[in-house]
Amino acid sequence: MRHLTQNSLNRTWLILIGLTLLTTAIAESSALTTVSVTAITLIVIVKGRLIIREYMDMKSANPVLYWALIAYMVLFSTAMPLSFLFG
Amino acid sequence: MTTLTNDGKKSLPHTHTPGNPAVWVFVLSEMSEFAFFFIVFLVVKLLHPELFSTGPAQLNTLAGLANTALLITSSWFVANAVKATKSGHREKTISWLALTIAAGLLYCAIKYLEYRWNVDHGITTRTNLFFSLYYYLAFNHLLHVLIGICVIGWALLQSWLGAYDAEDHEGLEGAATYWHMIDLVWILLFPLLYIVG
Repeated sequence: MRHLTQNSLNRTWLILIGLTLLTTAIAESSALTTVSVTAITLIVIVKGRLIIREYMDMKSANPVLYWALIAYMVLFSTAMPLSFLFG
Repeated sequence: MTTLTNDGKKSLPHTHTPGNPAVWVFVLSEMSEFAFFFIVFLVVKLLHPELFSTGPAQLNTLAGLANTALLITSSWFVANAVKATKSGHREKTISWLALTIAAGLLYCAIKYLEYRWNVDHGITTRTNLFFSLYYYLAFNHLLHVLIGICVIGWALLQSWLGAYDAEDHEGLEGAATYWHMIDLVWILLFPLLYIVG
């Protein structure tokens, strides 16, 4: 297990799978509330950031592209709780 | 951080963007297309909230969860393929890319089973507006996975032919970037379609 988590790609994979299971657990545990939808939104943003930074290796990329991708994830993730509140 | 060169001029920090400008135009176009779909989904939700509050619970969450895990894993495979090429390990690159294609095909198989399950439970494109949009978005994403499989297949062939090495692997990075984009879009689609609605 220690060997698996020493590699940053492996560590990222484990975190992403864990966050996906957490999202499903939150959704299945009870009826959705503003708090749970906000938690799911934050998880989506963290997952997106991990994929962009670790898998796509955008840490040292053109900053405009890097922030455009981050903004895309934040914008459409944030639309979820907003549509839940006002829908 | 800005540094000074030997002749006293300022040099910009080293940047490396994976792929090439053409790949990024393609990737950003695809993301814009999905952005438009997301906006349509959210606008229709505001107009018909009752359909969207009950819709996700009727879908097969396990299929959505399995496909999310598969895409995350396939992205891990691709990232490892790029890393292997940068280290000069051609055989490892080919193996990682073959695993990516296998994961993509498995995703398609699960999607097929999910659609069959939907039909068995009376969920079709005409059931209501939520399911129409669900089918439209999910099927569109499936088409992108199929394109991604072809792109990764091409990168695998190029790797096998020895077109990439530790210094020159722009094509492989471009293919990997496209695949990661498919994963990013699904990260948004999964909660939108299967959980929150």
